[in-house]
Amino acid sequence: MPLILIVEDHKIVAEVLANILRRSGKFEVAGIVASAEDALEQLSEQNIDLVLVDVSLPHISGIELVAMIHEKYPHIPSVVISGHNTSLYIKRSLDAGARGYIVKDDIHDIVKGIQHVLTGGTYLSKQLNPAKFNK
Amino acid sequence: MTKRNKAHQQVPDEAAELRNRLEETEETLRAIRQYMVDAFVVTQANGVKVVTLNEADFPYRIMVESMNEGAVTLIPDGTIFYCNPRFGQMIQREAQELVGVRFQDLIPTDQQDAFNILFNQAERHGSRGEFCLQMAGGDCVPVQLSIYHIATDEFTGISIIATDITERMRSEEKIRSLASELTRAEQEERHRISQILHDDLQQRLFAIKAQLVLLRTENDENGISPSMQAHLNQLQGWLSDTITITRNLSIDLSPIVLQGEGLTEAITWLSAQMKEQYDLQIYIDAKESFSNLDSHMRVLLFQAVRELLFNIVKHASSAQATVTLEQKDGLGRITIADKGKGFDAAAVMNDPKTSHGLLIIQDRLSLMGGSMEVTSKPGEGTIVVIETQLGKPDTDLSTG
Repeated sequence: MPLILIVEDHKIVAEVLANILRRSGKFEVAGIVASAEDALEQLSEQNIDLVLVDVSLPHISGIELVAMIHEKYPHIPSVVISGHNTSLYIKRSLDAGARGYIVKDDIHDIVKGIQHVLTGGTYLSKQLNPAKFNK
Repeated sequence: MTKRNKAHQQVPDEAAELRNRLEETEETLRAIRQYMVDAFVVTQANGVKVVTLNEADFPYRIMVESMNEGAVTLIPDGTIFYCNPRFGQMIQREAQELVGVRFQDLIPTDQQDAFNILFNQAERHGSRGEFCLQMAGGDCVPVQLSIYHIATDEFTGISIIATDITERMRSEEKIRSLASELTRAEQEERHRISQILHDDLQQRLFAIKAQLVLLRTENDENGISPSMQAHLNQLQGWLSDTITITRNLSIDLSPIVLQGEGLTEAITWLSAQMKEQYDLQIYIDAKESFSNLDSHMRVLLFQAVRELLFNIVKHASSAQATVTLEQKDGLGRITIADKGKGFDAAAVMNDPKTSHGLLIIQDRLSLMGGSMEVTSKPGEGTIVVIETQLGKPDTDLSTG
C-alpha cells in the first residue's frame, strides 16, 4: 500500500486528512508532521511514496518544501493542499514541481487526486481551470 | 610758476575734492537707505528748496522693514534694487550687500528654468511658486515666492515676497510620516485578521466539511433516509458558502498578491478577481512598472484602485474599465476610466455624503503626498487620475 506523508500544521485538518486516507483503505499514512524541517527528516528515514503538503507552513513554506523535495527526491511526487484557489499559489506550486494542487474545499477528492498522481498524472481540484496553469 | 606747473598742482587737489564728494554722497545714500534722512535741502537757481521724504510712506516702510517675510524689489532685468532685512536673514547675508545681485543667481541651477517661467508669468498676472534660495553657507532655505509686476509713473520693476516654508515643510513631512504609519498599522491589522481567518477559522471549516462528507459517504453505503440526505446536502452547501465568504474576506482584507509583488502585478490580479466576482472586464495598459514604490504607498494605491473599480461596479452601469499605469513629469500616474453613465463630478465631490468613499481616498493620497482628480459628466463616463511621487522601494510589509 502506498505510504503517504502528511505535512500540515493545523492539527484538526491533519487529523481529518489522515482519517480520509486511512478510511479509503488505499493508502497507509506514514506520519503527520507540522513543518518542512520535520518532513525532510521523515523523508530521509522512510520510503515515502507521496508527500501531501499544506501550502502554508511555518518557517519554510509548503511551496519551498515542494521545491526541496523535487530537487532532492525527484522520484517522490508532492501534492499541495491549500485553502487558496488563486492562480498565484497554484502556478507557484506547479512551478516548484508539485504534481497536484487540491483546494481544501475539495478535500473529499483527495483520494482520487492522490491515485491519479501515483499513476503518473498531474491533478488539479475540479474547481480549478487546468487550462490556466498548463506550463 | 609756469602754467604747466600750476596745472600739475591742481590735479591732486581736484582728485582729493572729488574723493571727498564721493564719500559724502555715499554717506548720504547710506543714510537714506537706513531711513536716517527725513528731508533734503536742495539749492536751486531760484532759491533753496526743502524736499521732504513722503511721510505717508513711513508706516509702510516700518512694516516692510519689520515684517517676517522677505521683501525684494527688482529692476526689470532681475537685479535686486532693494531688499528688507528679513530677506537678508533668510539667506544669511546682509541686505545691503544683496543690492545689485541678480535675484536668479540666488536660485539653484536646477530650479532656474521653473523660476524663469514664473518670473515671466508675473508680468501678466502675478505668480507664485516654491523654490530654494541659496544661503551664504551653501545650504538652501525653502521659500514660497510671490512675484508681482510693478508699473507706476515713477518705477517699473518686480516685487517679490519670500516666505520661509521650512516649518511648513517639516509639518507636511511629519503628516506624511504619520499617514504612512497609519497605513502600515492598518495593513498590519488587516493582515493579522486575515491570517486568523485563513490559518484557523477556514481550516476548521474545511475539516468540518471534509468530516461531514466522509460521514455521508460512509452512511450512503449503509443507506440513509432521503430526508437525512437532503439535510446533509443542505449542511454541506452552507459550509461551502461559509468557506467562500471567509476566503473572500481574508483576501479582501490582505490580498496575498500585495506581499512581495509589484503594483502592476497586484492590479493584474485584481482585474482577474473583478472579472470573476463582478464580471467587470478591465483592460490594463501598464506603461510603467511602478517598481519604485514604497510598500505603504503600493498598498494605498492598490486600495484606491480597488475602491474606484468597485465604484464602477456599483454605480457606472459599465461592464468595462481601463487602468493605465504610466510615468509623467517624474510622477507616477494611474488613470481609471470607464464609459459608463458618469455623474456631475463637481456636485458629487462637494457633497461629503455622496462622495464619502472618494474623499477618503483623496485625503489619504494627499496625506501621503499624492493626489486624485475626478472628471465626470452625466452620460460621458468617468476618468479618475491618481498621481504620486515614485520614491525608493522599501522593505516589504509581508510578515511571512
